[in-house]
Amino acid sequence: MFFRVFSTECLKLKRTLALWMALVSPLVMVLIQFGITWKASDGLVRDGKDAWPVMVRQTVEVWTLLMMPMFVTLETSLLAGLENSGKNWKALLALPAPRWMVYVSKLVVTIGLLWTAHAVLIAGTAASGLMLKLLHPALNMGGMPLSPFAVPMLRVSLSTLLAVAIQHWVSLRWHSFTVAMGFGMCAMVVGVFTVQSKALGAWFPWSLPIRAVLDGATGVDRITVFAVAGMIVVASAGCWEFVRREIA
Amino acid sequence: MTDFVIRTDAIGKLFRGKPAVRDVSLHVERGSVYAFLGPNGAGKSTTIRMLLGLLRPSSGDISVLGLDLRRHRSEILARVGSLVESPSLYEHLTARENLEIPRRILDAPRSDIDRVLGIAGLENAGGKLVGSFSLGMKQRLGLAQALLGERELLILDEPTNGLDPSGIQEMRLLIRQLPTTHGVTVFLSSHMLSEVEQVATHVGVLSQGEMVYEGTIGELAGMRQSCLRIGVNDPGSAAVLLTRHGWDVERAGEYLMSLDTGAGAAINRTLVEGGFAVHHLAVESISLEEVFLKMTRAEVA
Repeated sequence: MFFRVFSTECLKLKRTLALWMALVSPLVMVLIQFGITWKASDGLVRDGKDAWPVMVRQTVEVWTLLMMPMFVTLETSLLAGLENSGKNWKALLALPAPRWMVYVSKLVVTIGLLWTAHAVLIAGTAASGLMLKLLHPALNMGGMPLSPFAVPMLRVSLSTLLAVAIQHWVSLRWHSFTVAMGFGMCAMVVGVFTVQSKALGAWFPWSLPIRAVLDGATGVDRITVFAVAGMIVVASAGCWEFVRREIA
Repeated sequence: MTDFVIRTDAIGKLFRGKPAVRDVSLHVERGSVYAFLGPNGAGKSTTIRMLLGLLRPSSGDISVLGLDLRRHRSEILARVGSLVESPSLYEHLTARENLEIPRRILDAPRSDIDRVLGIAGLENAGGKLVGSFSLGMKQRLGLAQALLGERELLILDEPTNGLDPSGIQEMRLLIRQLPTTHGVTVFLSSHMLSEVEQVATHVGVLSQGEMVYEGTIGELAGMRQSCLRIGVNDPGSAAVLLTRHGWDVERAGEYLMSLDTGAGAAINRTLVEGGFAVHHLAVESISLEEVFLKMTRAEVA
């Protein structure tokens, strides 16, 4: 039954902005980084350094700090809007699917879109790096540093799960696009400030992905474990509330 | 023993301590078209949402298809189709894709989509985006969704809301044929008896959150009485005068009604002597709609 419910959530993505955003957002990032690397070639080459590590580091940092929090907020709001805008909850929840499956399927779809965006970002950056290597030899680009790119992206993918679970619950709890967007934007701004605090930055859900990048760890550490465990707790609590919710 | 597809036992619902529905006991027989009537705000939608498990009753028990709703929610919902107020559709998807969503959850065969599109008269619109549909087409697609799978009961909340006269006629025809051609029991709500009296076999009337009548449409018709309809220039003041003289009269729009059909001459004299201009005085049969209005108005009063 779960896969049937999950497949309906995937079907609902057809022709939606939410689906397009998973492709377009990372590609916008790739294009911007392509331009920055091309223009910054003088500075990068002067030291005789390979431009790859700089390009990869900048891509991961800018994506994690700016693009990804906005992406998560927009995706969760848009996906919840599919049900909220047409007042579709009453029909969806009058079908014989257990409510927890509906809640979890929607969360899995959101995480799936985020991770798809990350895959597009990695693939797009690789393709743009190879193009730069061909078109702009002065950049002195060697082989693509796969591990320095994939490992931080994997850590970001895991450490953002707590924020996704919270934003998912908020979007489904209040049937207003504005509330969901406003909440996500405020949390994002607070996250940018708290990341500099040693006490708060390591715990605030929206700071965790940035910390995961800045800490430079290469494996599973406290941040990723906390984010994943936090997601399970928040998703379980959200599910519990969703199952008991009355549709008036 | 009567086979009830819906049976509620004194269900009630409180919203922030205030009762929206009180002690509602419904008895819907298999194969019937049950019209659940009441003015706007009477508690029909709240009751329907409780029948579908969208709201939890504050008191009482609900049995659908012989099963307790609290314990067998999924099993019941697999056999109950519903259309609550406006149809819930994804406008960015085609009609066929909109039907594919409940089809997958119900695990119904793919051919079922063509079957229900045919019933709803949307065979040629399956590939069109729902965003381009008229309200009538959306309503019919909502009904098609409710018919997917092996449904034994359809719960329709104001299914003709917002439809033009031809849309209402089409919907009536569809609903009327469902029990005989598809073996489905229909439970539908409306705020107007005239909208459903041609299709309903049974009627339940809700007023101010309480059931005030339940029976067959024939029994309801038997409650029709003769009455004296009085047309007068100032009905409000005339009603006061007649009440003062001991007649029990009621306002019915621009007319006054009295059950004392033999008092025509005396009433006429009293009104004329009281300075009123009487332009209509006749013994008439009360319509079903007026019986219904009388029931709900009495409760309000």
